[in-house]
Amino acid sequence: MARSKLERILQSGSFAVTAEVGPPKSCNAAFVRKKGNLLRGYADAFNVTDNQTAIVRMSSIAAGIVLQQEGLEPVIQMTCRDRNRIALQSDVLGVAALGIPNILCLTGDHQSFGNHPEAKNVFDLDSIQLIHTVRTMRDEGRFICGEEMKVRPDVFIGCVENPFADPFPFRVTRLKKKIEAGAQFVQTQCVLEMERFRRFMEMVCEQGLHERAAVLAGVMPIKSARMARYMQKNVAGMMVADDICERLEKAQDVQEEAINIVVEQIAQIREIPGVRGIHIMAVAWEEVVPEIVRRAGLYPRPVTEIE
Amino acid sequence: MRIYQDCQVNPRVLVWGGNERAWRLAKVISGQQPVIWAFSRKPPYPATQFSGQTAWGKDLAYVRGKAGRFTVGLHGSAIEEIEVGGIIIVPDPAGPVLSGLPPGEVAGCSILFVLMGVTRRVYTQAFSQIISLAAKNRVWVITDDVQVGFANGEALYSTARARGAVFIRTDRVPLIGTAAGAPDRFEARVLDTGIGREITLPYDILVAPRWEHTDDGLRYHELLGLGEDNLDSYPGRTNREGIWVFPDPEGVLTAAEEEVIIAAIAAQVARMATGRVRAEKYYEIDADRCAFCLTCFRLCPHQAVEFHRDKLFQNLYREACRIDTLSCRGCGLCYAECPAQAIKKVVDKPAPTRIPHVLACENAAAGLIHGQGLNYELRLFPCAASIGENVILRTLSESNRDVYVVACYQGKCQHEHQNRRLQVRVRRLNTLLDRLGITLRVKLLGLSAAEHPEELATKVGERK
Amino acid sequence: MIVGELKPVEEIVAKVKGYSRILVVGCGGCVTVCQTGGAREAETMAHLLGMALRDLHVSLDWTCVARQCEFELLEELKPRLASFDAILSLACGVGVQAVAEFFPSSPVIPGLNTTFMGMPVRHGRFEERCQACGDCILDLTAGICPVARCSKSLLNGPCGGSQNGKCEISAEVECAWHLIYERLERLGRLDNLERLVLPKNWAKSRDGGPRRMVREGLVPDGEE
Repeated sequence: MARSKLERILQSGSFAVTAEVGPPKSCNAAFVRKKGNLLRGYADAFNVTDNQTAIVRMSSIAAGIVLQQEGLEPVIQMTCRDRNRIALQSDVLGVAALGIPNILCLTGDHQSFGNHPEAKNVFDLDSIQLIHTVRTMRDEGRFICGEEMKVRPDVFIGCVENPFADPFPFRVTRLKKKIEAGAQFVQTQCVLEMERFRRFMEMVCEQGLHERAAVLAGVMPIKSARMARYMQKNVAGMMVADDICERLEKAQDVQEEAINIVVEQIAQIREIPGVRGIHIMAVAWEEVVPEIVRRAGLYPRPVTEIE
Repeated sequence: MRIYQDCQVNPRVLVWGGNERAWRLAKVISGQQPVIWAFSRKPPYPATQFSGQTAWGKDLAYVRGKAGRFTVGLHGSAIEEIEVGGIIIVPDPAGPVLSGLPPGEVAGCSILFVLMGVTRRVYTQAFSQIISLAAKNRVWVITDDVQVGFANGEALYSTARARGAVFIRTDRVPLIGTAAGAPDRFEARVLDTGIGREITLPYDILVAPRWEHTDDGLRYHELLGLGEDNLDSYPGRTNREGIWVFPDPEGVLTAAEEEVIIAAIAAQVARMATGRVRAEKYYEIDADRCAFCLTCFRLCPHQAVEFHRDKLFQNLYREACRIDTLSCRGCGLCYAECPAQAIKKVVDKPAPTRIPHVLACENAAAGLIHGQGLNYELRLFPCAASIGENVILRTLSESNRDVYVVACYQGKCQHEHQNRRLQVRVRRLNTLLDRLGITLRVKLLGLSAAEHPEELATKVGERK
Repeated sequence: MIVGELKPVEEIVAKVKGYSRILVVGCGGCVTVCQTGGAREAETMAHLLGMALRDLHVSLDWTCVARQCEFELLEELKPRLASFDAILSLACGVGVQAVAEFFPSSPVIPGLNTTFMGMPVRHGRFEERCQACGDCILDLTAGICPVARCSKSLLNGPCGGSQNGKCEISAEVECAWHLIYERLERLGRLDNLERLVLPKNWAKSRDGGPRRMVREGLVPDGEE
């Protein structure tokens, strides 16, 4: 029986739901607890971001532990920006030792976005090499250098993929590389351009990748029309369909319309072959997640045997 | 003092073009020196009257070398190389054609001719059309200048007016479009200078001249590495010594004017007819100091710099840049920018006895007479491009007063807009001076040879 | 070549303050080529500093050696050094250190910031091309270096921030992996990108400590 609840839910064939909990820019553990409890029961596991957009925040492992103490299952995000292979492998051991069952491996945003653009970046490994490293540690009990370990970290390995970045055909190749390196689940960049995502999933299914790893489509409620336009124009690696922007621009009650849009998107995503769950990124708007999950008909969440 | 160098040159000239002009030009040159007349297709002109060599059916592939010793690659079934001293490209004159003429017989229409800024050649074509159309239609001719200076011109103009064609003179481009509130009707609004007010002319058919350029001109420009401003130079002189492009690609010249250009180009290539050309030497590169950084090679507006390999060179590469005397026009841009200071003036003027504070392009400042009633010391340079950052700062430091740099006005520089280069050079220096808290400044002035010496005094703001 | 850019002039002035006789030394190598540290720049800098420090009665002179990174070529400076109390070197960091090592009792001040190894893409504009990682893989990446030209030095293809051929850090920066992808596609070698590239050996890069290269076959046995 898998230690990760997320893994068990995916194995059971249920449509999985994960959500994101961004740690605070302080050591306020109560803030993490509050955020977690707000979402309790509305998602199967909770991504804890790792200094997202290169802004210094509470360590993802520490925040993950706070969530775990509350009885919520964290997905620890690990980026390659700030740690070399020594620190990364050490943290993988630490995560497993603390009983956290999920690790999501990412390359990480460049530090020039964040609040310490003068930092020296690391990128000793890239995300694919990190996935491979964690898999080798878990399945072969070996570090990158080849040395063996006594107790292996039993973790469920995730990765991300961005169907909206270029070159488009390479995005599927890259996902394949990640799966071959050891990724078992995939969370995508938030889908705000459904046609491109459909084409991406068609290519994923053609190669049979959807059977080798579980694809969770990212969704994001957008709070305002201005934010939608900003993301459309200025955020690298994002695509926002015009009609989303227009609907938000015309709406009387923008927040209500934003929720409507996400709920409709989830319904469409569930129809796309190969998708096995969603990942809700309600950045700075976590309180809306329960309503989205309810209205999407994904509540209550299934209970797995271990519980 | 000036230094000259006798350069050996190939007297043979390549005339490239498949038109009548090329034929006439080649014929004239063949009377004075060897010539090859060549083009990608055989032109329909009587080669019997041409005594030189010809080559048809090959394309220009490349041009290597410098003035007096070009190697031209001709692309046929294989590449064939020919050696020539000079190259003259004669693009097909496109010539404006009247467009919008009704294809067949028309009657009962209003026909509007717009003939603005066109030459006699267009009028010869236009008059016969105007006369025949005016018999059964209403014809208006909007023009800035009725041209009749050709055979039978006056008579044709009289006939056209007698048939009822109305000539409207104006000095403004007419507004042409659909009539207000009636999108299916066309009209032109034009200021009639004869009556001094704007009139509106409805029309059915619009006839206006249109220039059809062949793309050859542009393609040759790229192939020969020519700059952007060559077409204005008389008579077809380009930024590369030894290469001419026949001016007037639009074909507006009359036959007589064309003869003048042909004679002028022939006279220029005649310099090479004896196989020797005496050329002035301005700058040379000290190969042992040359860092082979290619700065001069990339910057030279006249493509006078070439690579030269010599195992005796003391530098790192046993190869250095060299200035071809015949191609160099002495602007001194290379002298000012060479980061290794490996380029020397062949003749260095004696240092001025008084420290100058006006550094001037001798062309821009040609109207100035040194010191005449004016309280400044002037130092002349062949072009403002040759006034380097170090020279400006040295002058600033020694004179301890603001320094004026005088360049030609935009578009007047004979070395491809070096005044623009001076702008950024001066801007950088002033920024550095400002940041170091130095109050002295470098001031860039535009001047023209036509201006009175006092202009400078006014601009510099001082009188004796 | 090594590309260096002029330090902010205010910084240079602050660094030379306190010295009264300064020799500005240019280098005839790479920094001449990138027009920041050659003979002309040495003269320019001497005039600028002379004017900036005029009130302090600082005297300046300038010269240029063929390459500052060769001890033998620094020899010609020796006779002049007695008349100066500091050297402002316009060489790259290598040249500055060679001068410091060769003249143990002369203070040496760097006038340039050594920025990267690269090339002029056109007159006056230079771009980084190599990071001396010590383990070249350009054959696999279509002749475009991801270590030097990808903002994250990734080895397994572009990250999720690559869009329209541009890097996520700025629309001015080309995504090196996008260039690699396009070139591999043209070469019919996109399969290169399907291979998993394992973690790189950075010990051959600067991370392994200061590096040394011994060309075999040059030094007879027993000589050091």
